Formats: sequence, C-alpha cells, structure tokens
Amino acid sequence: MPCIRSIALLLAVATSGTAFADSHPDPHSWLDRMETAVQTLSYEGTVVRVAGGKTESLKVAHTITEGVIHERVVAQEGDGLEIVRKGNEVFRILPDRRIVRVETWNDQSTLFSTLPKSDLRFGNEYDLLLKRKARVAGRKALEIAIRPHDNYRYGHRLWLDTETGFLLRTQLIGDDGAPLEEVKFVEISLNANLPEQSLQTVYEINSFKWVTSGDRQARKPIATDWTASDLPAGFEVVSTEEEQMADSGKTVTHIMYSDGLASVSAFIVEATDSADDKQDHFGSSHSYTAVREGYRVTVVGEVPAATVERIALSLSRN
Amino acid sequence: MNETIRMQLSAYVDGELPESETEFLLRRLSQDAELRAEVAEFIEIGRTMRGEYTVNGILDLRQRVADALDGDAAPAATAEEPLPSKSFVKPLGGVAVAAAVALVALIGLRQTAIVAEDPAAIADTDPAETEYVVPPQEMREYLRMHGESSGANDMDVRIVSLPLGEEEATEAEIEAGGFLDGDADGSAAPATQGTDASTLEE
Repeated sequence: MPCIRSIALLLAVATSGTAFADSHPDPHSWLDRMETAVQTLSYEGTVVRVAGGKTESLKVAHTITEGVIHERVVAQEGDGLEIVRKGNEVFRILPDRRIVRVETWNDQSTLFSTLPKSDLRFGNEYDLLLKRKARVAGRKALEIAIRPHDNYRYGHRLWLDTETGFLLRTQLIGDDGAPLEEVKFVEISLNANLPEQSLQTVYEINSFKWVTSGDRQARKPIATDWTASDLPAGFEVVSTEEEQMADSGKTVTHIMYSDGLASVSAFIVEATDSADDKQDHFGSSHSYTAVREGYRVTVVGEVPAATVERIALSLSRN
Repeated sequence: MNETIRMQLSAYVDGELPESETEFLLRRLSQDAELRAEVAEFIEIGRTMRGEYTVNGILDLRQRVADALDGDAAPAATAEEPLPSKSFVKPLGGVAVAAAVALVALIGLRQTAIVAEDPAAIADTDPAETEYVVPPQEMREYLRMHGESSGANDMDVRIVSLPLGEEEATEAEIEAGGFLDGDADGSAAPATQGTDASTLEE
C-alpha cells in the first residue's frame, strides 16, 4: 500500500533531533523551570478557557512588586467580571450590577502558597513524558504529558515556554484520551514592565455598592473515626477538619484525600433523611452522595465518577 | 492543519486516540502528505527528546497504520529494530507533582470555580431526583470548601470565582454593617475595613 510506505519512508528519514531537546531531556527539569517561572515572572495576556462546550476569554495581568502580588483578571464576555488583587486584598467588580465585593485574605496567601507540602508529595501514580515541540501564543513551547496509571484520576498536558519555562497552555485529559478542559494563553507578554493601568480597574467603583461576604468560619483540625477502607491507589488522607457551612450553619467534617496531584474531599454531616445514593457531575468534577450510619456523606473532586463513588461507598465509622 | 487534527495526530501517535476517531484520521493520513510529514515530525521529536537514538516508534506506528487499514505492512526501516522502549516513561512525583499543581494555581480557572459561579449548573438536576440531591447551595459550599483546601483549586475559588448572587449580596451587606447603602451617586467612598478604594482607580 503506497501511502503506508510513504509514511514509513518519512519516518525513516527523519533527522536526528535538536540542540534544544538534547540540552533539556528531563521532563522533571522542565517542571522545575516552570515552578520558578510562574513564581517570578510578570505577565500580561489573554487567556482562553474551553470547558463543557463553552469558551470564555479573560485578560490577565500579573506582577510581583516587593513581594506583593498585583493581579487583574477581566472577563471578556458575560457580565464583565473584573478581579483586582493587591496582596491579600481581592476586589471582585461586577460592572453591570455596580457591585464591588471585597475579600481580605488573612492567611498571607501567595499565589503559590497553596502548593502541596512536602508530606503531600507522595504521588507516584502518574508518568511524566516530554512529547514534542509546539507553538502557543506565538511562542515556542514544549509539550509535556502527565499520564495516570489508572482510571481513577485525570491526565494533564502542559505546554511550557521553551525560553522561560512559563506555562502557556494546559489540558485536563479524560480516561478516553480526549481533553475535558483546556486553558491557554492566546497572546502573552512575559517579563513585561506592566503599565500601572494594566493592574487598575477602569470603573469608578466608589459609586458602586460595596459588599463583603464576611469572615469565613475558621477551619479547625480534628480527629475523626470516619475512614475510607477502599481508597484508589496513591490516595491518602491529607487533612481532617471541622468546618461550619456558611449558608446553613451546619457543622461538617471535611476529610481531604490526595494522590499528590488530584484531590478529593469527603463532607460528612448528620443526615436528615435516608435518601438514595446520588451521583452527579459538574464539568469534569464529580460527586457521590450516600447516607451512611445516619450521616450524609458527599464526596467531591475533579476526578472521574468511579473515584468519588469508590471512596464514598467505603467510608464508615470505626 | 487545524488544531483539531493536530491534537488527533498527537493522540494517535501516543496511542491515545479513541477508536472512533482513528479510522477517520487514518483515511485522512492516506490522502494528505502534509499530515504524514507531521506524523513523522511528532515521532522524531518525541524520540529525540526521550534520548532514543534508534528509530523506536517507527515500526510500531507503521504496524498500527497497517493494522488499522487492514493492509500490508511497509518494509521495516531496519530489520532488527527493538520494540519501542518504555524507559523514557518516568514516574511523576516529588517536585514534579508540586510544579504540575502550580499551573493550576497560576491559571486559576478550573472547573470548581465555574461551578461555584453558576448555581444553575448545580440546581439544574433531574426534578424526579431532586429529593435525593444535596441542596444546590450546600453543594456549592462543598465545592468551594474543597477548592479552598485542595491547593490545586485554591486560587480558582479565591481569585476567579463566586461572583455575587443577589441573595449573597444582600446577606453580605447585612454582615458588613459599616458599608455604604449602595446608592449610585458616588458621593462617598465606602468603608472597606482598611481598604483604600482610591488606589484601585485610575
């Protein structure tokens, strides 16, 4: 069959690679570069997100000045939501409704303070592969694949800027190999000296209604006798806390599991009925609710349906 | 070549393309020289980056193309080529995991946030099963709490999520107490618990 021979010939005559690939052969070193890049670089650009059949775009500007994060995100569609962050103060501006919601972070969070702690890094349930060169937002990029070993977690694909290691594009990959969600820069300026107005709202927000959601109820670590006897491989308990629901005031036990990359939460409250089990999904996130021993157990996470179901059905009190 | 075909090619070369799409792609491959060249490039770049200096992958791809088209396999480039090595597959752990999670924090636009933004997405459940569903507001709260605690989604929820619903606004205003009434005359700056609103404006 001629066409097949053509393919074979093309493959056989392929050249012997590039200096770029030879000098950075290790995917781990690329992720290290990425970690440094995202913590240190200023950037301004347009991000497009595709998920659940919907596409949306946002203008993003980010810089760190004397250790303080300044960031602005503006939705380009819908209600024009604008978010301005200065350190731990976050202002969510809804121009159509003339509302500013103010949120003060009390925990000195930084953009990357949410990374897993060292004791969380037990994840060994994925393979990491360098794949190929590509182009994203007009910049040369390197594609990296993160593949799970089983169907209890999603895969990821990352495209890193070859010059800086900065993340330009990412995909969440379902168990059929198809992307569930994609976020990418379509244009970006890296390490740019951002003009001040890039980080400021254009609205006269003094005349808007200013509201706050009030302080979140503090979470407190607790000991619990709830355990999951059949966790998928690699998942471990990383925290067990008690929280109060903002809406209902109910006290809920919150157990978080992680494999180092994917995370799943189990919420346990006293049941007021004996409803049937219920599975649901919200985009790529899934939930499974079951009543166990007089408590309603709801397991949620950005993982396949089988994962939340397996965890929910194995939860019991010792 | 459009992006969809490029992604299909990528998945195909990696053996990840669903069967339903493979036949279409192979037919297209058989008719499109540019596409075949792209496949060759994918294979070569991946091979080089993985430090493979033999032509691993070629036989495999050739065989898969042949099998899929139910045709004759093309002559082997070299008769003694080994099967594609798995040695390039490296376990993902440690710092790599942390860095991978960083991307989520960076972009901050994951699904949890979107769900939280859109109560209808949760409320829109089968009416016949409504009695068994966690109340939408409660599920939103769960998703928010999960996002805040999981690290991976933390920034989503905190930075790019939870636009105000009307009910939230009212409730929040009561809680806030010292805030303005929301008149739009712009006559006074709001009391913002230490926030200097003027610094946000041009």
